[in-house]
Amino acid sequence: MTNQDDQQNQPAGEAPLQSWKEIADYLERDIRTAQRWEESGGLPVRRHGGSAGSVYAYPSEIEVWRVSRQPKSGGEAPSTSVGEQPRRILIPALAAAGVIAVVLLVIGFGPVLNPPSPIAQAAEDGLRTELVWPEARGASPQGSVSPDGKFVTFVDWGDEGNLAIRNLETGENRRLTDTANGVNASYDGMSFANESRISPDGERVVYSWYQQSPVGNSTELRLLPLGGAAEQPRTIWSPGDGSYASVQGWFPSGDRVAAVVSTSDNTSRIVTVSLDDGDVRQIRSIAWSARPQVRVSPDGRHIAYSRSASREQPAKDIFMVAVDGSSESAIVKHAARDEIVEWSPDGGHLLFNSDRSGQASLWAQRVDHGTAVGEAFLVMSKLGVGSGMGMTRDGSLFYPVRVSRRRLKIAKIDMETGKFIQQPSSPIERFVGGNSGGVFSPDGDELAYRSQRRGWNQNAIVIRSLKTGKERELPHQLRQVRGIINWRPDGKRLRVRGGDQNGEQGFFDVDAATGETQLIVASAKIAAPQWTPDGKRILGRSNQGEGLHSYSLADGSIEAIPGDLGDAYLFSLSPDGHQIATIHGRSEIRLRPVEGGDGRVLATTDEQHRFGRWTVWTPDGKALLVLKGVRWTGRPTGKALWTLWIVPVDGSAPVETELNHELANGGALPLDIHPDGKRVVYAAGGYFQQFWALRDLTFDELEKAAE
Amino acid sequence: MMWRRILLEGSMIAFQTVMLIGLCATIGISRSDPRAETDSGRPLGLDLYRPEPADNPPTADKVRLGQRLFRERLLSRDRSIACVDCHQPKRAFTDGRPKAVGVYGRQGPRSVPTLVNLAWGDSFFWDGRMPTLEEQVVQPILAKTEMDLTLEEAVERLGAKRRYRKAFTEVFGREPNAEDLARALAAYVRSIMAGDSPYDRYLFGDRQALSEKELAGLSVFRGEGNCAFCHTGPTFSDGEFHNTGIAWRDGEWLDEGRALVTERAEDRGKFKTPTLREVARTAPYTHDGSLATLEDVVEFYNDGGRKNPYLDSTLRPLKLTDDEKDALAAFLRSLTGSVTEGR
Repeated sequence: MTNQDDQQNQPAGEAPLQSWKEIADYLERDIRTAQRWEESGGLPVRRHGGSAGSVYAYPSEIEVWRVSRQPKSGGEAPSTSVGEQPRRILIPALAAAGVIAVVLLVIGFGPVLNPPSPIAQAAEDGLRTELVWPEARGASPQGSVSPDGKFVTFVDWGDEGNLAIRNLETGENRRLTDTANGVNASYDGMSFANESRISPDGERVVYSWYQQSPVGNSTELRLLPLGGAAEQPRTIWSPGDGSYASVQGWFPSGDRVAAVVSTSDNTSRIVTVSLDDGDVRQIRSIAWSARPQVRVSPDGRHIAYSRSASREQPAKDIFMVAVDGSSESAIVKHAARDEIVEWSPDGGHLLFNSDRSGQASLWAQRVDHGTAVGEAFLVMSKLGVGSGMGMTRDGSLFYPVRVSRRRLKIAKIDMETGKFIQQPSSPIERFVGGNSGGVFSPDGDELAYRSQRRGWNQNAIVIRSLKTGKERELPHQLRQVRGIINWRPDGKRLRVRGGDQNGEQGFFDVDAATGETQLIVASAKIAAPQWTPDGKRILGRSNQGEGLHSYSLADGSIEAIPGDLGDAYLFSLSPDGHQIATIHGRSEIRLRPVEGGDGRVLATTDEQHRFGRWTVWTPDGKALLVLKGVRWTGRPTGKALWTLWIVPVDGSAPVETELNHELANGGALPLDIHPDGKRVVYAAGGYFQQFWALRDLTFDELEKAAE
Repeated sequence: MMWRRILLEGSMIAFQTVMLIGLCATIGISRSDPRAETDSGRPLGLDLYRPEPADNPPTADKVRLGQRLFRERLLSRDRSIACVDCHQPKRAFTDGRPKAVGVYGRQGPRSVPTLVNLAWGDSFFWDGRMPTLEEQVVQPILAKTEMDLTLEEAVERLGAKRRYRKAFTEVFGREPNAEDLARALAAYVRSIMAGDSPYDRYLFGDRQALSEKELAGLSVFRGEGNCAFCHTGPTFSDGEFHNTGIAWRDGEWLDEGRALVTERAEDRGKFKTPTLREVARTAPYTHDGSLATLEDVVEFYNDGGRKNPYLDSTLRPLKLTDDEKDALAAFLRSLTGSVTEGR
C-alpha cells in the first residue's frame, strides 16, 4: 500500500486515527510494529501534506487490510501485496468484503474473518453491496431509510439518544429531537428515542420515545415532519401500562402505522395505530416469543412477522396475518431459524434471513394474496442482514451491521500491588468479535472459550493451548452454549451451561477430548451453581425454597443450607469450599461460612460507585477479584468505567489494579484467573454500527436464476 | 295433538328467548354495545385474528345453530340438562359449584371450566386431553357423569325434530349427524369471548380505567407475584400445564391431571392454566373447586402452592403483605368486562 496524501477518497463520516500512537493502539500492537506493517505489509496509512506530513488512517481501511492479508502464525506481518493494485478499485471492494467479514459473526450471522469474502460472495451471487455509512459510532441500528435512499434516521447516542437523520450524500447529520437525556440523566429520569420509520412519502417519521421516571416508565409513538424547520413532535399513542411500543412500519395510505407492544407478562402484541385519532387495533398476540419483527405488506393488507414455533424451539418461522384478522398463514416454515427482513417494493416477495444452509444467508419467498408460492430461493449466501432498515423504491435494501471490537485478552497482574506484570494481549486472532467466556484449565496449560461462529445461538467451544497457540473446536452435542462455567478438577471435562438437542436447559459435562456431552443437572433443579471442591455436590439456588441449597450429584437430593443470602442472587464459593462471598445492594461484599451464620462485611463502596454482580476467588483463597465502577447514570451503551480490584479476605485494604477502561459489560463480565494466581482472562472491547445497502435487487431475475 | 305440541314448543322457545335476552341485558353479555367491542366485533383486548379451523369456518347460521344446541336438553339422557346448565352465561359460563353435576345428580371429578376465549386455545379440558374444540364439545354429551348419551342417540333425537332437520340442512346441506353436531357446537363455543375489562381499557391508553388499588394489584401480578408467568397474554393463560400442588393431599395424588394424558410421572398434578378473564364470576376455583374465593386463591399462591414431588419451579412463597394481597384480589376483579357470544 502506498502512502496517501489526498483526502478526497476518505470514507464518508469516518473519524481518522490521527497518529502512530492511535494507529498502534487500534491495531493493539506497538508503534514499531505498526510502522513495520506499513513498510512491508501494506498497512493503509495516509499522510497530511505529502509523504513528510503527519500520519493518519481510517479504521475501515485498516479492517479491509486486516481481512485481505493471510495471517502468519502469531499474527505477524501480512504476506499479501494488496498495495500493488489500483486503489480506486481495491478500496471499495475490499471495504465491503472486510468490514462485513469482520462483523457478521458478532451479531450471529456466521463466520466473519475467514474467506470466502462476503463481497466476493455477493458478486458471485450477482449482487452489489455498498457501504453507505462506514462508521456510525454512537448510532443505533433501529432506524430506517427514506424511500429515495438519500436519508437514514437513527438514534444518536453521541447526543443523548436524540433522533437524528443523516444525509447519505453529504454525510451531514441533523438532529430531529432535542429533549433526550439518555446519557447524562439519572436512571429514573431518562428519555430517548428508539425505533423510527420514515413514511412512504418520505416527509414524516414515526418513532418510539421512551421515558423513565420514578412513577413508571412509558413509551410514546410520536410523529414528526422531516421538513427543515424545527417542529414539535405529536404524540400518537402511548400504552397505558408503560409497556414498550416499538414502531415497525407504515401502511401505504400514510395514515396508520404498525407497532409491537411488549408487555411485562412476556406478551408481544402486534397492533396498528391511526395517526389521526390514535385508534388502536390489536391484530395478533404472541404470548411467549421474543419481540417479533413486523413488516406491513406494500398493499397494506397483511402484516408479516416471525416467531418461534414453540417456547423451547429456537427455530423461527414467518407468518402473515391479515390486517382485518380474517386469516393467518405460514409463509416460511422450515426447521431453520428464519427471520423477516423486508418486503420487496411490489409486495411480490418477502426477504428473510435463514440459517438453513448452515450459515445465515438472505433468502426470498414469492407471495401472492397472502400465501406462499413456490420454494424459497437464495438471494445472497453466507450473509444475513439483520432486521433491515427498509427498501428504497428502486430496490435497494438498507441494513445495519454491528462491528465488534470485542476480544479475549489475557493480562498478568501482581496480586499484591495490582500492577501489570504483563500488559494485556489478545492471543486469539480468529473470529475476533465473537469470542468470550475464557476459562483456564486446572494445569494452566489450556484455555477454553466459546466462540460464536456457527450462527445464531450456536457457539463453538474452543480449546487453545497456551504453550503452542494451537486450537481445536470441540464437537459437542449442545444446541446452545450459554457459558463455560469451569473445568472439572481432573482437567478432562468442562462444565457448560446450555441447552441440548431436546430443548433441555441445564448444566452439561463436555469431554475436553471428544466433545461427548452429558447432562449434569437441569437448570430447573438448581441455578447459579458452584461445585464443591470434591465435585460431589453443587451449591446453588433451588425451587425448594429461598436461600442456598446443596444438590447431590450422586442421588439428586436437595438440602437447604441454613442462612439467608438476602438480596444477593449470585455467590462465589471459596477454593477450599468453606466460605461464600456475596455482593449486596451492589455496594457491600460479605463473607460467610457455607454452613450458615452471619459472616462479615469485607468491603463497601461509596455512593458514587458500585460493585459488579459477583466475585472471583484467587486460587490461594486469599483474595477476591471484583469489578468496581461508577454508578449507573443511564448509559445504555455501557460506557461506565469499570476497574478490577483485589479485595484481600484478611480485611486489609482493597487494591486497585491497572486493569480498567476496556472491561466490557461491567457487572456481568466473565473473568477467570489462572492457577498461577497472576494471569486473568477477560473480554474487552465494544461495538459500533455500519450501514450498508444491497443494490438493485430484482427478485424475478433472482428467482429465475435460482431455478 | 300436533297443534298442542307446536304451541308448547313455540311457547318454550319464546320463553327461552325472552329469558336469554333478559339475561344478556342483566349480566353483561353484549352484542352491540359499542363501548365493549372494536369495530370488528372483538371485545377490547382480544386479537382481531381468531384461529378457526379450515374445515369448520364459522357462519352466522352455524353459530346460531350451535347456540341452540348448547341450550338443548334433548342432548342429555333424562332430557334434564343442557350444556348451558353447567356453563351458565351469568357465571361466565361456569356453574358456581366445586364439582360438575350431571344427569341424575351424578357428580363429576372436576369443576366446570369457563368457556370464554376458547377460540385461542390449543388444548381443552383441565388436563388438555382434547386437541380441538370439535373433539371436545361432544365429550360432555358422552360422559356418564354429565349428559350420558351416545352420539347415535343424540343424532337420533335431533333428527326426530323437524326444526333441527331444517336447521342442519340449511347450515350443512344434510340432516343431523355427529360431525356436524360437533362443528356447530364448536363454532358457537368459539364465538364466546370476554374482554373490554377496565384492565383492557387501561392497557389501551385510558390511565383512569384502574383504581390505585387495582394498579397496585397489577404491579404485584406482574412483579413479585409472578402470576403473569403463566397467566399471560390476552387470554390470561399460557395454555400450558402446571403443578401447583392443589391435587396433592397427605402424600397422595387426588387427581393425576395431565399425567393421565401423557402417562409421564413428571406431569402428575399438572393442570392447564385457566384464564383469569371474568374470574370474579367463576368461583369456586381450581380444577377441584377447593378454593372458594379469590382471597383463598391469593393465599394459596402466597404460600407457594402445596409442596409435592413435582411442584412447578416457578412457585415459591411470595411473602405478600395484607395490602398487596388485597390489591391483587382487586386487580383480579378488574378483569371483569363484557362477554359476547354468537359472532
